[in-house]
Amino acid sequence: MKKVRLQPKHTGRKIWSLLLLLFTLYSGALMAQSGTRTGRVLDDGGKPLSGVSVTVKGEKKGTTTDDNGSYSIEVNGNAKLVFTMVGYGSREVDANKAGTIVLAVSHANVDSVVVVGYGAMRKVDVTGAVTSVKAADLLDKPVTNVLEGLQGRVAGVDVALNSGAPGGLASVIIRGIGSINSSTDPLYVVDGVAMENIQYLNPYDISNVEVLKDASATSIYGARGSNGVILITTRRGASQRGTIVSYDASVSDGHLEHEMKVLDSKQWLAVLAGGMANNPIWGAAPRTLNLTDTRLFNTDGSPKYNTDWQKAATRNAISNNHEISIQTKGENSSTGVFMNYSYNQGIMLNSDLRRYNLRFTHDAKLAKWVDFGVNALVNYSKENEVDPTTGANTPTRTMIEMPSIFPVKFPDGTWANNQVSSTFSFLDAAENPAKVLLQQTRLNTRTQIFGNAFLNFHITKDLDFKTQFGTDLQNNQGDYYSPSDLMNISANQKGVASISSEQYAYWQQENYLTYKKNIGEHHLNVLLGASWQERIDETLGGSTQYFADDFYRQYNLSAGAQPNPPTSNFDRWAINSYFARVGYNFSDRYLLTLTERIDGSSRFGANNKYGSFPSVGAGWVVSKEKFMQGVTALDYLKIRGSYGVTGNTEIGSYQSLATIGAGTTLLDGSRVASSSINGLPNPDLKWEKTAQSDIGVEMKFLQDRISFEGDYYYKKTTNLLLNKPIPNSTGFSGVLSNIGSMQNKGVDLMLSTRNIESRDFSWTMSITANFNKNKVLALGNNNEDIFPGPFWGPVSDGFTILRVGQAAGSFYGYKRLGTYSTGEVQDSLATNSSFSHKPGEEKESAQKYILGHGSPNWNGSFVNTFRYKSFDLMVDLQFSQGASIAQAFLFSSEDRTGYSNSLATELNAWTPTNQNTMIQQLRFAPDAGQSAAFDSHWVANGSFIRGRNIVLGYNLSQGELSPFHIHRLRFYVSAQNLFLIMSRQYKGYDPQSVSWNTPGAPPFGQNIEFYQYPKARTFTFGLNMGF
Amino acid sequence: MKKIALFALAAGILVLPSCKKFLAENPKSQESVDQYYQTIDQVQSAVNNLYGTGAGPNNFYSIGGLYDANYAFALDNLSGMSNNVVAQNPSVRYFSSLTQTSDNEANYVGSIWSAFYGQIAMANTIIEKVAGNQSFDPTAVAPLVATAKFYRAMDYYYLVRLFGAVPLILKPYESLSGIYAPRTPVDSIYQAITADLNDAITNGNLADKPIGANGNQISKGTAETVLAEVYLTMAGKPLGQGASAYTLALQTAQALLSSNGGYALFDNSGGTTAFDKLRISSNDQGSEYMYFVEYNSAILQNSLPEYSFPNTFPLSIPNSKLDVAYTLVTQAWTPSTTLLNMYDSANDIRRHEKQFYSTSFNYTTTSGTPASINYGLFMPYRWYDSTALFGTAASGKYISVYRLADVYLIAAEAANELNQDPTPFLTPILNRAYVVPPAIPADQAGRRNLILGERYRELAMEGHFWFDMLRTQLYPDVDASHKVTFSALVGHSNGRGQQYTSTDLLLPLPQSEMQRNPNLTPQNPGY
Repeated sequence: MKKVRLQPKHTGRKIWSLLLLLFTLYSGALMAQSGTRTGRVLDDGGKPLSGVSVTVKGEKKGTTTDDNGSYSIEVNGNAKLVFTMVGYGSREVDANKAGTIVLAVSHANVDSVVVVGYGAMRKVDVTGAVTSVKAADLLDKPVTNVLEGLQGRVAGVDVALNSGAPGGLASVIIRGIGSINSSTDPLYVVDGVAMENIQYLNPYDISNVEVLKDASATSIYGARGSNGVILITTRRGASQRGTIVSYDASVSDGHLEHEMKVLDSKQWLAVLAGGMANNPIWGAAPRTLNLTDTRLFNTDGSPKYNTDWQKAATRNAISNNHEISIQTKGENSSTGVFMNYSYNQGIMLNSDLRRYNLRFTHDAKLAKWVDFGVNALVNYSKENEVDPTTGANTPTRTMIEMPSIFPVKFPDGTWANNQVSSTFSFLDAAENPAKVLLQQTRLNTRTQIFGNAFLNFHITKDLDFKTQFGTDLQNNQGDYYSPSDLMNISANQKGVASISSEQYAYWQQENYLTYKKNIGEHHLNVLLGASWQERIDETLGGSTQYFADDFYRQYNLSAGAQPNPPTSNFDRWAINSYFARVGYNFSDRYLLTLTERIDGSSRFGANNKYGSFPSVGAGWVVSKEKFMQGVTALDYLKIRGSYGVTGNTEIGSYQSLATIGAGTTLLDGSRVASSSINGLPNPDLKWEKTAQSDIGVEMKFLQDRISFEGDYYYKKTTNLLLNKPIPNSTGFSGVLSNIGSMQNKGVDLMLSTRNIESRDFSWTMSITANFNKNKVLALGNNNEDIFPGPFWGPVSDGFTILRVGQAAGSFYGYKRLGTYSTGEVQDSLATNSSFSHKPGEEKESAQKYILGHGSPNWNGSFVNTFRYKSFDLMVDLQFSQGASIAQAFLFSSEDRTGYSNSLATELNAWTPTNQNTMIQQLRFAPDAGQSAAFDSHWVANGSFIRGRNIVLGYNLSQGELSPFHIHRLRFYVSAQNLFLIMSRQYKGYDPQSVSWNTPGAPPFGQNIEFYQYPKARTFTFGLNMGF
Repeated sequence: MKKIALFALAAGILVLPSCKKFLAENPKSQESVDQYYQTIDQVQSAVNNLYGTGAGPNNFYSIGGLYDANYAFALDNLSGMSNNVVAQNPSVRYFSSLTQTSDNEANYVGSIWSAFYGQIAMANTIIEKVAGNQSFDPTAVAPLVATAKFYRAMDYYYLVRLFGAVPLILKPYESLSGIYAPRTPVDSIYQAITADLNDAITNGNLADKPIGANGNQISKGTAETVLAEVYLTMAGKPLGQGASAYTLALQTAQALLSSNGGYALFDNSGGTTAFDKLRISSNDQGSEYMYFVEYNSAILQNSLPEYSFPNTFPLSIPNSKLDVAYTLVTQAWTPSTTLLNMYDSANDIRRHEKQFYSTSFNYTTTSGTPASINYGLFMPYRWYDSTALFGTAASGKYISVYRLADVYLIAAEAANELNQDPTPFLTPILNRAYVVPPAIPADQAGRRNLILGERYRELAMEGHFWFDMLRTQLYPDVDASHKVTFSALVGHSNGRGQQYTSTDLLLPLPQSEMQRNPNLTPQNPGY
């Protein structure tokens, strides 16, 4: 294990020594000199900025930069120069240090505006923990979805890309897991409208993202706010008159970063023979290996093939992406049209995601007193998916477990599988992964129509009324066909076809008044509104089998002779809400925000339809105080604190009712209707409540070259929606109730510095980090342990436990103490003749223990950006510390031999001369199976450092471009996932992984892995062009 | 003016009264409980659910993981009469090596527990709702109530034998009041079981015919069979009611045996032995079956045929066009040496090749010569289904739980214990099972050995071994001449080097259930 542990103490020390260093660098003795100061102003991409206003602080004199960004100004003595430009942050620089100045579209800018729920606020006025991410930061590396772009950009937001599959689900946890049965996903709001399946949104559509983390920020979303809120603002028409056309394109090549080490043909045959030779130990009849099948073996018994199945099932994946945007602005209206095509090929054969996006925005001033805006997007995607489940024939499993002695295809062109030879029929039947990938259809087609239209009435100078209608319509279809020659999957059924379709219609209608008034130093910002939301979801599914041939696939279900019963379902929920917010600012020094939302949800019990979610936030801009004026190194200091309550309603509908579950059962040769009661009613069912306190500090030093933001939070979730365990003797295992509580405590840290800024070279750095600790405080009436799963074949007890005092979803299993030695067994038999273990057998503890947890303690990123003349370079490292990963795949790839291929670790198995090992004596499981209990040997340290993105860009100069009528042209190359430093105990591809990540899967699947779709190492070449 | 109008509009929209209907829940895919149990079809649909494999005894006999088989196999395994070499579920292995604890078995016994109580709750609801509704036609609804009572009795019968005193719950829960039910003494549970079964037999308006002739639904004979065995159990351990219970067992069995409902043992006529008839699916609804779990090749498949070939069996049969359609065949249930030795290989037809067991597979090669694959061990042949094995991989073979042979053996055992002559009940069993039927000993103890031994030989693969051991607390020993004698279960070896202790006589109460129900105390002794 390489050390990736980041001790909190050390981090603190490092930050302080860094600060000290930077202080010394920049605040050294300043010489007072008069004279002319010259220099250049560049943007953070290194491009010269013309028209920047340069003034001497406290004086009227000033100038503006020319086309090359150059300026020249006279100063006297210790003056300060102020650089300002619309759209960029202003900067004050000591005249003596003036020279090349970089103006950034800085999220640290005090005057910048951030989007908050139902409106925007000056960053300085915000009392909550809100982090803004601009498109430039989201898209500074190739990304296929917004979550990928957000990864590592916001402290406290843990984005786990758990699969390398195109369109693979990511898990987003803001400030720790805050729920057990309800969703842990944040609420996504795009231009004011809640959106599901955010991963299919075109990342190029985004202008900026705001992450609301604490209660002061999220409580305006009340019952849907407790997992945090991610607000996405999309790009719209041009902001200045004229037309801007831009084109971005990239092409990338991805490949498997490293292979898992498995036994080759000869090693595997030796392991098999070794296991068979040990048969008598287990009382099984002796067996010998039969190596006579001439299709697989030479006459001397040596294997003919040594197939690398990981290579056979993967490929070099070539992807491309094209984005065209046209933005215009006329006198009273602006329009934007955005088109995107992306084809994202996965590294496993035949897996890809094709996405087509078209979006249109129009904003118009209809009259002096009313504005109008509309935003509509159509998103269509087709995804060829690899079986994401944990079955016997999933290619992610079989590409590891298929013995190398079998070829992909025989010389005559026929496919092989592990049952081609009757001398190896003891193997656990598995179909050829390459064949499964190429011949099976698993196609997900998604169509989304999403948008909103609003009217904003300016009733008086200070009072606006906005009415907005938004909708999210989605149609998701899943097509499946598995042909009649896929052994063990669909051969016995002579082909299996199914189509499932889900349609949902969500709409929301929101109306609100905004009142803004400045009276002297009193600034008031009041919001009052109401909202109605409804979502209706209908599903339909049909499946059939026994086809005459493989022609029809899923296109003609009536051709299957043995249809299964069709399925359909209806689901509706509705929310009705009222909300208000008062923001008060005195003299830009003292800030107060009061928020209240009242939500009514259909999902809750008759006795608890409405809930109230208040919050209070306060801020003090210390640096504005007179006593701080002398502290020159410190430019800005704000201290803020908040407390409030938010809720979580994300459970299924109808959970408070006792209903009848209907289906069919077999009786007298046919299906007959059958029914039973689903559970006990709970008319008191209500929201989960999260009370969150937050204390934050925002600081800027040395002319904004260092900015720091830190938050401490404490979240306590009570009324957990828990399937409260009741005695099974009632006939039910639990009643969904509000019981139990859980806490998350942690720290969010963001530090960004501009270390070097000169005419030709600049270096900026940003560190984000989050520390979070989760603890279950109370469960059911008797604080019973709860086993939330995931449950899986041999681990029928489930991998995790909810136990008071422990992190939610801690891994729970036996400890692997080693293997029984010969002497130990002799000694035990001497005292206990019934002792049942044999030498070389795995030794497990008698009791189960907590073995770790799947979520990290520390996670974050370290991003460095360099610019040298026209070149730019970004290096983005991700780190994660403190999570464990449960390698469930060791069950069949290491603990069990004889049914499949094994990992190379099997070569270290117990023998009388190698007794000090965790790997038990070779055993031929078909004759002498072994226990498959989940134990500590499966659990590895899941900490890692990942070289996530490295991007090298080159900007062509204006001079080079002017003949072509191109304003902007940048080429870049990038490498994603370039390296991964992880624990040696971990034997899989990537220690951030989930195998139970399908929708509706148990909530605590993070870092429990039964094989995964490997993440690619990808090289990309791209260009950004503006006309 | 315009502004005032706008303001009024804004204010109006903001204070729109919230509509109560907007937040009401009206599910369309699930019915609410109040609307249910109103018509006889709704009651029938609730009763149909009892026949499913999701709960109750049918769940006990359905395969969980293919390597781990079902709960009934796990008990055979615990009894040492069968072996499962491939089991991966550690719980199955703990039972077979008698290393089970309340901790390591918490989940496994927990699922046994909840599967039975889940069905009890369904039955309780049916019984309660029907009793509370006078609008039903009494003759039409009586068999439905009787079926609910039959299953409730079966559920408690399994629970009380496996766990001892368990909470006796006879009313459905509709809220959380009274959910912490304590353990009810064993004799009260048996009282409830016999009351339910007697009520079903007397007032159930049940057809008096074999289950298969009754549309695979519970018949009077089904209830009588179980009731007879319940009395036999009450006569033995732990209640020890002796003669009074033996009398009731004998009376109940005799009532069934003397009925003219068409109950009859299969015979060896027509060139097919009775035991091969038990195997052949077309006889699944035949006259000998008293209770079974129904399967269907198109709707609900039985995977037991996968246990009829050993692991070594080639799925592609050499020199033939035969391919095993299943992708896995395995040894989750093979007879132990003790069990096999109980049969006289020459005289006992059940032990003949391809009756109850088989040691080889015979076929004809493509060139027309006969060939054979020798297993090197005994595999169960009861579940051999050639259509499923070599064609469809979908077997519709029913799983037999009670047969008329049980009823004869119950009657024989009860009669012998009452010191009456068991010959009339024993002869039909012996006559069809043996080439030359053995002589029935004249002494009661000798007859007991024969009758109990016959139960092992005759009722193999039907999940009865462990329950017989529990109620007799005797373990079979067999000598070279296949003669079976019995000695105390406690202290006897399980054939794998471990000895039964009194702790093993009950399963541990599920630990999670004890956490959930503070009144569920104490834990069974030794755990």
